[in-house]
Amino acid sequence: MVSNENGSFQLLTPVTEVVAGHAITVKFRANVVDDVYLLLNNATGSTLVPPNVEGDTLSYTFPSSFKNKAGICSWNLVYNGLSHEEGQLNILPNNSYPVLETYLGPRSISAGNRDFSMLVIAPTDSYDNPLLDSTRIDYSFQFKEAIQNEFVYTKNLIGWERIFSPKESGQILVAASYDNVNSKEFVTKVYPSIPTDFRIIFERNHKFADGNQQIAFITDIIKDEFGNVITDGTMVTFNIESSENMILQTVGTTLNGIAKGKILHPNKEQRWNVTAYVIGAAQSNTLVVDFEKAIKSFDIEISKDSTTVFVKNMKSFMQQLVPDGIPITMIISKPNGELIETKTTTTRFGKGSFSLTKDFLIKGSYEIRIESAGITKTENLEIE
Amino acid sequence: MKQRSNTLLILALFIGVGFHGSSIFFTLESTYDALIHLFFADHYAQSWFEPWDYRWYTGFTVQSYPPLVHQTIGILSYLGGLKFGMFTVALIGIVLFITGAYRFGLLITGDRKIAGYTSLLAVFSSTFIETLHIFGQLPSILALSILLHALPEIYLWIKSGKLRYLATSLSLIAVTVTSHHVTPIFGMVFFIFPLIGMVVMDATKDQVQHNRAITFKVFWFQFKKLFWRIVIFGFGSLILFVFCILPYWLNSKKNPITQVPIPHGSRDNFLEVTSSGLVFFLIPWGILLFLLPYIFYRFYSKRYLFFGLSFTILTILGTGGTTPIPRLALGETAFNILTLDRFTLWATIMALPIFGEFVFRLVEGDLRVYIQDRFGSIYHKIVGGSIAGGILLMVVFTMSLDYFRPSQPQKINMLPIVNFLGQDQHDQWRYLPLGFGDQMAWLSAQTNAMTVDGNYHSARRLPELTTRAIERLENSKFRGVEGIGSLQQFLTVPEKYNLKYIFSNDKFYDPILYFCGWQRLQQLENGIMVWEKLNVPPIPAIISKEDVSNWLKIIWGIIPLLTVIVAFIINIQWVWLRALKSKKLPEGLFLKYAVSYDKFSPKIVFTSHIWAFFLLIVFAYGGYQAYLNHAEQIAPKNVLMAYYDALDFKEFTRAYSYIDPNDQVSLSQYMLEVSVTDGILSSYAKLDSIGVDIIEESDNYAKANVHTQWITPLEKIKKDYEHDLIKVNGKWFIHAKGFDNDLPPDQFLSSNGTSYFNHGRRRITTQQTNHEDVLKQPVLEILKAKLVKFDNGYSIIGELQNVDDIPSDVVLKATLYNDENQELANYNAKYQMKHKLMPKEITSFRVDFEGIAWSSTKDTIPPTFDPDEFTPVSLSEQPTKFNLQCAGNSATTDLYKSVALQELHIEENSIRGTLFNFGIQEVTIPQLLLSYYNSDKELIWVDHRFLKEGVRIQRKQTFDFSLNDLNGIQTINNSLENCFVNGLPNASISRKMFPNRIPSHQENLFQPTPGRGFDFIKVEVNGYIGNPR
Repeated sequence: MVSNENGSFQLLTPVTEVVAGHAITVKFRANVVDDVYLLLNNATGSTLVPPNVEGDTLSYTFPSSFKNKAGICSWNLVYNGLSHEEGQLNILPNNSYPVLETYLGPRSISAGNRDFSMLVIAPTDSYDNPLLDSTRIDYSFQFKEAIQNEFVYTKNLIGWERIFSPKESGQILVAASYDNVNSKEFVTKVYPSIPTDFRIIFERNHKFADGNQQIAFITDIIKDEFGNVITDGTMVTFNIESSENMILQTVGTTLNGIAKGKILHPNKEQRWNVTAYVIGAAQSNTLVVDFEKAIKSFDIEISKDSTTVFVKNMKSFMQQLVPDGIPITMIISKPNGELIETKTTTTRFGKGSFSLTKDFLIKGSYEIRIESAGITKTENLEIE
Repeated sequence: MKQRSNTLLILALFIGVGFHGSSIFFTLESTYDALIHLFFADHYAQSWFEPWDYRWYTGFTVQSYPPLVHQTIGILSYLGGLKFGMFTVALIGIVLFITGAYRFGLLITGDRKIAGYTSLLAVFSSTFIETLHIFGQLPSILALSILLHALPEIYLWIKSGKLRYLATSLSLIAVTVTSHHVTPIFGMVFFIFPLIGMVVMDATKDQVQHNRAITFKVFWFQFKKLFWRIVIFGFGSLILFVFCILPYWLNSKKNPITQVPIPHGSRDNFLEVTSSGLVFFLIPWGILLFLLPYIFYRFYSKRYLFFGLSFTILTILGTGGTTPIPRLALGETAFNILTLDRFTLWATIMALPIFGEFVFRLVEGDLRVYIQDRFGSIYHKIVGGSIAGGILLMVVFTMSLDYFRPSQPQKINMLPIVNFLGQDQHDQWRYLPLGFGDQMAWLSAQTNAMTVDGNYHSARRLPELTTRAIERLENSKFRGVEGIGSLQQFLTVPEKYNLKYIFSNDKFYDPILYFCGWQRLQQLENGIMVWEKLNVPPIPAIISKEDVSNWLKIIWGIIPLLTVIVAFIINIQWVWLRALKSKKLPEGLFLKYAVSYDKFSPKIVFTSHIWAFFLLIVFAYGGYQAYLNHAEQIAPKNVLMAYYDALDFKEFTRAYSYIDPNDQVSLSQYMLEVSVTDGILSSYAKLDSIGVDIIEESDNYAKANVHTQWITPLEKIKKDYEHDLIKVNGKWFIHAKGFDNDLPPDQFLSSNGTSYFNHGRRRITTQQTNHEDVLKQPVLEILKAKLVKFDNGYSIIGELQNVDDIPSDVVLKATLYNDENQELANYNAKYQMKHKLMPKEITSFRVDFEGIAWSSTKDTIPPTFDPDEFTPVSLSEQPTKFNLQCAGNSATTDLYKSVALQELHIEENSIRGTLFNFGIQEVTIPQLLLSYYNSDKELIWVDHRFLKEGVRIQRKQTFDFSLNDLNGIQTINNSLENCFVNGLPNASISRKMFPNRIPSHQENLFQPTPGRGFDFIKVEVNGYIGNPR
């Protein structure tokens, strides 16, 4: 009972603990009934509540935004700008209709017990109040054949657990439950770990350097350190060191652990040393691939009017005409070595030709050098 | 005396509304301006009083354009939609123009019949047809028409001093002002001043017996008498001028137009740029050109003297850059801001009454009598027929101009785009249309989504746009350097503008989009390709705007339509009476100054004949020149130029006709071999310049080097070709080149690989994606990064790897800091990286810091196109540190990697080789990334090269590039400390994902290449696929 010259108030409902969502009414007996308000304060804000007056009893009903919010809610009875009575209510979470807020992330991890996804569960009541600490949450996770059931207690509003990746790749399904309330099914993918060294082989139709067939380099099934086949799409670089000390390159992406890179045969005799890499992680053995000469020789013929140079009889390893498209280079120079012109063409039906517009080749002798498939031949030309 | 309805005016209205009113439905939507006004109208229809519109230019105010026409369309749109509003306003404009021409004709000549002829000629005037049907300048037409209606009222006020005429004239001026701002400013000078002169002249004439007695003294006396009326009218209109569109003036003061001048055809030299001459001179003048002697003769008679002066000035100003006079007269600034075609428009409108008078005299007046007497009636019919034929020819020619030379892309069905923007919260980001022409305004009007572009360049605010002389980003390819340069900045750093979607209607832009890191999302059913950029944040919920006070908003929303209502009330009874003739109208005072046409001056007939003859000779000469240009095979140079022109325009049949027929290449063979080549040069290039060097030439043979420069969206390409030429039967032909005989190994092939698809698993809902459906960002690792200084520019170079198990799109943002950790500049990686990486794939990268080009050197904008143009950012201080933010996002497209480096030859400072495509997609634009290393195998520079031709499936493609000279490159900072991936420190990723990295793998791929400043290079292949299958 508080009284002073302005009024006296007596609390009739000395409650200190209620459950969220239940109706809360605070009553006072008072000698004044006008302009007496109850000031409510909780973690999210304040409000003034007007009384419901019945005789000399003032009753204040908490609005839903205050009665539903778990935590401390303090009140002050305010009259004439002064606080006359004060008290506080501990509003407890309402356990009757709990809800589970569940998170699992990241959505993908790599195999091998190092990487993990984290399961976070925040159990709340139907008014979105977190349940009290040390609430027990059950959770389960499934990987392949095994299903494990575990539990965790909430602390600081949440319960959390790391789910470490197994050594095998696959996917882990996770679910949580509390008091017959169940979460959705959550998935985290377990990707294979880093690739380990592997072997490569090559496949080709023949051993000749005809510049037209493809050679394929194929890896065996690339696996990680736990024996998982590495992810589809992993980039494998096939590094080719030619006998001319040039670094050539083809690439492949894996499918079921196997990558295949293709490249054309060279068009002249060469030896290739091929090593494949998953860069930074794994590498293969080094293959040695030899290509033999496909074109042994060709003939040069100059037309009688000296306007055309024909390259003929380009035959491949079975005396067949070489496939179309073998590049031929012609270099015309003077006997003293002065370069006149370089021309290139490609073969068609085993032949190639260069036209010499005679208007421009002035009288004199010239040396014509033809290069193709690693073979060089020279011919002399006299223009009268 | 009872007034009779003027049959000629009724005929003019009848034909005018029938002809223009029906044809606008086929022309107006493809004009330059009409759709812009439609967009503004849509703004008013949506929020009448709010001047801020967020949809263009990251926000602009519509108080930058007088609102009457837009508000009228807006209000009419409530009845039948925006287009209904636009066509209704156009119809009103047509009626007002014809009646305005009638009243102007009556004012000038004082003869109803001649006024009737004037209105009829106005219907067919090529200048009006062009303004309406080609330019679509609705506000200009309306303002001019109302000005024409105002002129008789002004005359009557000054002459009679009756206040009702002051009210009518000022009410009409107010409507003019709220319709268009430029028309009343210049209309005042070029129409009203001469009109005042004419009034004073008429008043003077009242004082004297005949014209000869008019002296300057009498004139001055009359001027003083009428002075106060002139002043009252002048002040009245000035007040209206300021007050009616006050918010416009305040806005102009607050946001002065910072836009650099945008080239306009009306400022060209019409003799050099003949297309501009056609559109801005020949068409508007049309048949009037032949009558110029008569027009000048009449305008320089005493009564019209001031109109004569005005007409002369307008004519000269309208000739643009043909003579230096307009530039000198207007001054450099005004010359570069104004579009000069409006002067020609006004001149030709001003000439209409005189034209009407001429036709009257020719058809039923003294000229007819003179010609019939002098040359016979047949000749009279010929002259009359020629003029009528000439008018009709110009009408048909002008109307069909857009048909033969479309100024706009084909009409685009916007519905799929509007739907796309509406779906799936796509309007939370900005979009950018490319290759839409002026139809972009129609798209904007239909959606609430925002774009960084816009179609009213006076309202721009972004410095990236105001510093460039480009109309729109959307058609930036037509503006060369500035255009592509501006576009590149938006494409490289789209996060800055929340720009996520691009609608491409022009495949020219596709390569630049790809190499800037954009990806194709889908092709809409109207054929528009949607491109998307990952890792762009949505537009914030609150965006800034420039607010103005409420009273400005209110007067802006109310006054314009109010002026129309007031003008309507004041003028209504007059219009009504005029239309119904129910009551006798007060005679217009100007009617008594009609002259009688009894003797046509023979001198003018003679002069006109000479002039017409001269013009015909000029046209004939022009025609002959055109013919000469078509004589393509008279010399080796001509045939080569013609051949490359044909190739440029993809006219392969024409190109084939220049090939030596003795080469026995059939047309189908030629077409086949040309059509299979794809690549940046054959599919995305435009010939910029060509030079032909004839190396050797004899009577029947020639050998030539052709030096070409091609513009592509990515770079300027120089290419030299060598040709042998042969003369056969007096015509030169090009000797056919041999084609590549390369034969692919297989005919039928199979390929398998991993393809990806990503979709949200959520149900269809309007909510954000559920958290469990958000994919993890792929993890990348930055392997190397360093800040280097080279050629006075700073760059960040390095290498990064996708260490995740899914393919990743990579966005790389680098920021430079000085010693005090102050940010100096930031930019994103552009061409020098692979933006899409497979798991465990590596790319080298380089980030250059580009400034807003030419912002400091406005006057030295390079005149020709150069897409390579690069403006290094100007840094106030020396950068010493850098921050690298790298973001991965799961990628599912553009992951084609099946290109092998088949051959390689290193020569002194150059690299030559062959690529081989072993997969099943044609690589349209292959790109090589060249990384340079020093003797310690440390990365020192990264550069890129585009191959000019594509690599077809199972085919080879050769390349030959020079290597950089890297002497003088300087490493400033070589630390991975401030490198972050998806917001996490790079070092932690490295520890977790790749604890035992083997660095030697990378080094084994280096090609020893002794060069200028480097010892090794690494070649990486990347490629754009134009038509993925």
